[in-house]
Amino acid sequence: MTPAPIRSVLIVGGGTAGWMTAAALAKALPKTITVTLVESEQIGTVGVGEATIPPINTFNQVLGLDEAAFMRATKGSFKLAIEFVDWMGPGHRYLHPFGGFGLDIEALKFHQVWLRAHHEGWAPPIDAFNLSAQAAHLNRFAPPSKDPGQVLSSLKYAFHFDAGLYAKFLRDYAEPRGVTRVEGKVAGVQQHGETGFITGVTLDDGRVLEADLFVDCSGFRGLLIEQTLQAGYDDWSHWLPNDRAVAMPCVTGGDGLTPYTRATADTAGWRWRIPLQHRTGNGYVYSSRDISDEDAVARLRATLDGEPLAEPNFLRFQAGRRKAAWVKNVVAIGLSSGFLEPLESTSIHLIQAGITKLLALFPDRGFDPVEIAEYNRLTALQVELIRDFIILHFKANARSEPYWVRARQMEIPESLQRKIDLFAASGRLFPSDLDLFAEASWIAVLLGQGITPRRHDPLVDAFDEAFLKSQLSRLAGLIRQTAQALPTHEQFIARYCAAPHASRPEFKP
Amino acid sequence: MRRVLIVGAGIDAWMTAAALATATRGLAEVVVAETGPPPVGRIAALPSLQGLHARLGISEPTLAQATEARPRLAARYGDAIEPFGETGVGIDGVAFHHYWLAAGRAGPLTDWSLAALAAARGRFAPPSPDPRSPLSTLSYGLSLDAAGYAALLKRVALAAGAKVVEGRPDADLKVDASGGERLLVAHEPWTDWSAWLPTGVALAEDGLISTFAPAPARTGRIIAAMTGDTIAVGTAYGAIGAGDGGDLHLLQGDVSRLIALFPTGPAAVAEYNRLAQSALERARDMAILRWGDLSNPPEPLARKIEQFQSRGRVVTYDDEAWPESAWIHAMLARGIIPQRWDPLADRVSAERTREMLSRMKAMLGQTAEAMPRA
Repeated sequence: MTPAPIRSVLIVGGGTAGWMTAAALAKALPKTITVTLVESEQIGTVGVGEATIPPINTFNQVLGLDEAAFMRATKGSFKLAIEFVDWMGPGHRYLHPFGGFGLDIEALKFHQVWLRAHHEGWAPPIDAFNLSAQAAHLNRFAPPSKDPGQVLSSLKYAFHFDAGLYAKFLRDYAEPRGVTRVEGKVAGVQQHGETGFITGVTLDDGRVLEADLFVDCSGFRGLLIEQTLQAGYDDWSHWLPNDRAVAMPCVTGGDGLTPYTRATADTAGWRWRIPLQHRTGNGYVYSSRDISDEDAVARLRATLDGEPLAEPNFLRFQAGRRKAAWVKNVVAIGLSSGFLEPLESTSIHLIQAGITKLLALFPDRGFDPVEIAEYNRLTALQVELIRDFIILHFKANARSEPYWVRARQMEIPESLQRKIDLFAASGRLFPSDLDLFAEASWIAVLLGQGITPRRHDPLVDAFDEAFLKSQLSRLAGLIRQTAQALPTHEQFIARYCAAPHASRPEFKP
Repeated sequence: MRRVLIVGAGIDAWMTAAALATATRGLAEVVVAETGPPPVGRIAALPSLQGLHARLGISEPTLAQATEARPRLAARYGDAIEPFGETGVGIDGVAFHHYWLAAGRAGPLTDWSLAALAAARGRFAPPSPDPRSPLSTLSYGLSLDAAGYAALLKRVALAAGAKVVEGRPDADLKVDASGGERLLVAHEPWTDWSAWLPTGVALAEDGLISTFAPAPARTGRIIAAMTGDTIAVGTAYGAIGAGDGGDLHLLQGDVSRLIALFPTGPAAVAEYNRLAQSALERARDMAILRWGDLSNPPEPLARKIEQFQSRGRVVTYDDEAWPESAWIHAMLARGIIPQRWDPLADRVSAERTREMLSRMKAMLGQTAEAMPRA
């Protein structure tokens, strides 16, 4: 006998996590299940995740969003890469582009061929073999070709957008599809006397909202998952000591509307730069042990490339993950499930990954522990792989401040140490199927952070140098020409998805 | 790496030699100390073997001529048939078998497998590359004459520069490809799996549906595939008695991994051993599910069974040999029936689901009828 199906879902909290969840449930669930979202206009949303990674395209496609309309509504721009600046000391920079490098030669990995060229001293930078990187260098963009025979098909992209506007856009999607929005602040939570399952929440005006399944999108505090169900928290601050951020948008200046995010290492953390159509988002993620809030905001102001457009917005957090993202009838999605700094733009992706798993393991009223355990197992594995990738950036730095020396000296998870050792020896890499970051991402960051393999694959030596030289130079040439033929990022946006009022907004300090 | 010495015989030794000699292109000397008589009888191979043949430059006609290769579309273990390829078509991200469960299992799941339907009719056609064609859901394995196959691999290896040697000359890397004899690694500590796998299986009856029957096997593995300068591949490393193509697939995986890693330093050796163990254990779990003792399965298999039984969810790990559809058929064949299904399958009404299933079945049946006789 199949247990009774879920009749109702209550999403507690709006913001990016809440509305992404609401939109996806509205699209995917049978119409017999009611979906309600409660949020309060008095509670601000965090919205740090303004840069995304390519899987967001899948999410938007599943919902059936019109890309140009979504870009207009969120004042978005395109993203091809992250540029890491100063992580290996002043003036050093490298790109972590989307997509892979070059083409494998028979059974040989391209990066092994590149390594040989590098060891022999005739290799161009590896990003010469990635179209997203070359387009990023030239500030150019066009969507990839669907014809796999075209070089342009290798372009991979994501977006920069205003996360608040994205949430609003998804609200406009979800409400007509049956999601009910309730304005109100949660004042109390009711649990079943025996099981401890949550039966409903009481709002500050006395209204009660009941449901079979609750999705906790209440942010860092984890109103249901932590404050009520006490899931517990795995603290990762010994690896990722940054615990604060200050954000401040500014008028776009400097390098302009770049089709890439920039992450610049600084004395006690790193700064982001995310250009949108109407402004540039900036922030400084730092360790409060190493720099004061005043000094951090002063540093951020000093490095803006245009007039500030708002007062500084301070955030506090602790790196780690909720010990269980799903407890009883509560699933935590977004910041309520854990926090990793947005160095690799994973915040919105983690929301998406949570939603995808919730749909794949959507419960019934029996809330079978077997499925809850599987959700939690997969969540833990996925988040830990991302954690390792982020730790790599800090571990393999070459800066001299105490914060960075400490990072270099720290003990890292065994899973990451193994990857680094193997790559450092021979350039080999075997990422897990569950790893969000594929081989090319690891290669970009390992090389970028100065971990150059001591040897290349000896099988590359079976090819003669002239052959490889001609292959590599032909490939780099094709990629360069393809990138040069693209419209500029600004031209493309103007033609395709210009926001109606993308001019400079009012700001009265 | 100047010289690689392979000790062994038959398919294990010559597949290793052919792949290494082809990949190293003369950079390393590949020498084979042949130890035993060539194998006899016919053996089964999985669809994945075709990838290796492409790399070795073995064409289908060459293979057919040397080994009397015949396609196989499904395998029979006991009473149950497990087809290759896809079964049914998922809708809106929900896998097909959930709709089959939601509709009350109106007939065996194999009724929605083109491979099973064609095999039952004695018909065969190669898969279509056009994703809109039902033929694109097909996939096929092979049965081969073992001696002919070993001889073909030997020809490819010798043509690529491998040499047969007398005795066992010194080498930078020694490969034990001697199967159950474990000539170079006999002294390595052994992990015994006979409680899970008291027997193996062997090809009992050739055909589009190939039948496998229990066959004696000493199952288990040596602790580490690579120790010092010696690496054990295929059955020399681990034995699960998978005469249904699993053994050959594992051998192929070992050889590909050896080429991808060329393990020399400690980090690469550790990684090789980790990956080899993972691939072997995932294939072992399928062997246990198909013909082993399920009373106390290893933990990763226990989780798979639990998840499938609970709601038809297929858990896969890194380094799996078998696709999801194979796990589904193997679970059902062992009588593991999901208690529930993905509730998202209920977005489609029961009546429409039944209609869709019967349309799909009729369409696949017609496609199978239209295929040529094998």
